[in-house]
Amino acid sequence: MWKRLKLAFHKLGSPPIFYRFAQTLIPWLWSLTGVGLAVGLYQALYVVPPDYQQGDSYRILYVHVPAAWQAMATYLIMAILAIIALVWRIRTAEIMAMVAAPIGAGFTLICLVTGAIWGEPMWGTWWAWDARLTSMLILLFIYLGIMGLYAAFDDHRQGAKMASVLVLVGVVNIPIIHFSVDWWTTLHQGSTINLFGPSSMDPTMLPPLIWMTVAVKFMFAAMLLQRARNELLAQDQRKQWTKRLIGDLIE
Amino acid sequence: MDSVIHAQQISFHRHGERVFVPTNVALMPGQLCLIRGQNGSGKTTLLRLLAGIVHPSEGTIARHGSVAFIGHRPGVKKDLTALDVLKFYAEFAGADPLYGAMSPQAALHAAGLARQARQRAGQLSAGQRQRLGLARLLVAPKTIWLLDEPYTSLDADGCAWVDGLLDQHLALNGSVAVAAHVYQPKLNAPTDVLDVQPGAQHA
Amino acid sequence: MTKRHPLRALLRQDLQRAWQHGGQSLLPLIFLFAVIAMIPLGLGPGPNLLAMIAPGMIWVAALLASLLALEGVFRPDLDDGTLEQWWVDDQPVLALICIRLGSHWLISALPIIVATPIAGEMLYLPAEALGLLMLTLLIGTPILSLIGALAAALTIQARQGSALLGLLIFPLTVPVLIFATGAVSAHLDGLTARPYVLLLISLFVLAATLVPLAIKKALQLNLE
Repeated sequence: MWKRLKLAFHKLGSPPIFYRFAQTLIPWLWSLTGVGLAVGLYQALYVVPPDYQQGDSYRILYVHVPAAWQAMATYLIMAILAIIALVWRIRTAEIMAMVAAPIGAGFTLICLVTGAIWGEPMWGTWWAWDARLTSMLILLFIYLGIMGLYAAFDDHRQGAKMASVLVLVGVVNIPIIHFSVDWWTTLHQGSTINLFGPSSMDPTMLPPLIWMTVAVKFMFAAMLLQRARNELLAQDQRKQWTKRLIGDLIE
Repeated sequence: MDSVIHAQQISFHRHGERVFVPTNVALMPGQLCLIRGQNGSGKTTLLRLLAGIVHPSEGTIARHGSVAFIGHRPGVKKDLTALDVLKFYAEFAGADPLYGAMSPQAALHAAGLARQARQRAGQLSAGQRQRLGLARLLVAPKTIWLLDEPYTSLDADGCAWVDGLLDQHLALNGSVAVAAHVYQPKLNAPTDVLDVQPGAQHA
Repeated sequence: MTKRHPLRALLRQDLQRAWQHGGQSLLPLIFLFAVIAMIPLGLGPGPNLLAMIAPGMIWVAALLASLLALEGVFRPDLDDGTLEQWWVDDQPVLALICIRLGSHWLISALPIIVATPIAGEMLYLPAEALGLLMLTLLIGTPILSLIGALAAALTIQARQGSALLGLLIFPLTVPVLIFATGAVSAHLDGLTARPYVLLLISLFVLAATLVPLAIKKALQLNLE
């Protein structure tokens, strides 16, 4: 069992096989994303009733919360890929970990921007040093650091290795940062404003959130495979398999 | 006698490709192995594998004996005096009891740097720095010498000095592996030649 | 094998070189005072305001100053070929890394801790907070050295490595900053600083166990 799993692993590690695998999967993932987003957005904008306190402005939650979850989930996925890359030296894992960073940074940015847009009517200010927003801001810097480190090497593989070590350091550190920032806000604000908690949500508001969250997962998978495929092609443009592929396309 | 370094089918992968074709190395006591190959054929990588600085991606290496490695950057701190550099290595690397260690002053003298003892290494010429790096072999002698282009920047005198060092070490049953692509050591001891071939692409 | 003392040799060499560089080794300290002097110039010399922000400001200045010395932790050794010698002939690499970190801390951070009373006086730091501030610096700056050295090891061959250093280091040092300044302000508010100090100590233990391993891995990857 373990052996067969390992074999499958290594097979996926080979660029041409990964390319074909990604090629078949990507259209499906994008279609599922489209369906999920269509249903989710329709429900979020037209089906669920306005909140009696926040009116319509709370609807931004349906973008904000899935983005926040995906921002964190991306880091976890990136860390698993980084371990695979460092321990088994599988190149496709290395590339996927590296192309995941900008996607994660993107979701973090969406989370921060929608948080600010939401904060303006709610708190009367675009930015508040709220625990979650602050943690997200630090997460954004960590993502940017990983991207910066990867980009600072002329040798992509060397850069990927260094950045993978940084990803793993971040995995240990992020919970501590989260904890310390929580501590810090309770210290300085007295009481935290707890806006983002689906637990306090009315059950009728839940379905669009689930639709949107699932759609965002598919979107992430599609973007990850697509970016990894492109990066692989760009790095291997002089290799045999790419030339054969291009030859096939021309014919 | 058994070999001091025994490497079986070793190679190193960089960017998923072999740097050189898998190679066997069996270095015997009293033997000099000349590693040859074009630029970029992986001579340096092979020496670093033998020294243990990088680990082989395939194959196995067994070492029996203490190792000295002098890379193409000789490991000389430019802000220290020549004497302090050697004092540091004497303490840092220590001497193998099989061989007599020279004092740093005596080693500087042997390297022709007696007058430069109090000069900062940064003020020495490239050839003098190379001599200083090689003088480590005298203050911290080891069984196995792994030298990467030791003749770089040396004048004729310097090259003769290195040849003398090698001959002496081999006579004491030491072992040496040298990567050199221009200068051929002129030694009394027999020389084995190992040709390193650049690795072919694979997958 | 006779007379091999690699750890002692490395420590002696590091201290000797720092001594030779003289004033250059004190640059972080001078930088700290430059930052401290800028604060009243920017915020006005009002004692109340300065006293309130003094602990945090001294900590931020120490964090910035700790960046300055990082260029020299590993890069010169990689460039002149001494770093690869750590991996030859079964040298105790992890212990050598710890020695290097220790000497780096002695040279770059200890002078800052020693000079804290002066910096505190310049910012009207309340006298009863000084001891605790110095304690948090004593526990916290080794963590900064550890994280900083890791970032230096990762960027050792990167383009514009020094510009990247700050970006890599600051997010990772957030907990240190929060717990250290939290301890001082809790103490000034008449609360116990114990939990903060204990948290700082556990951060130090965690960093001291894990970071040297990560540094070893990073340096090894750089030697390939």
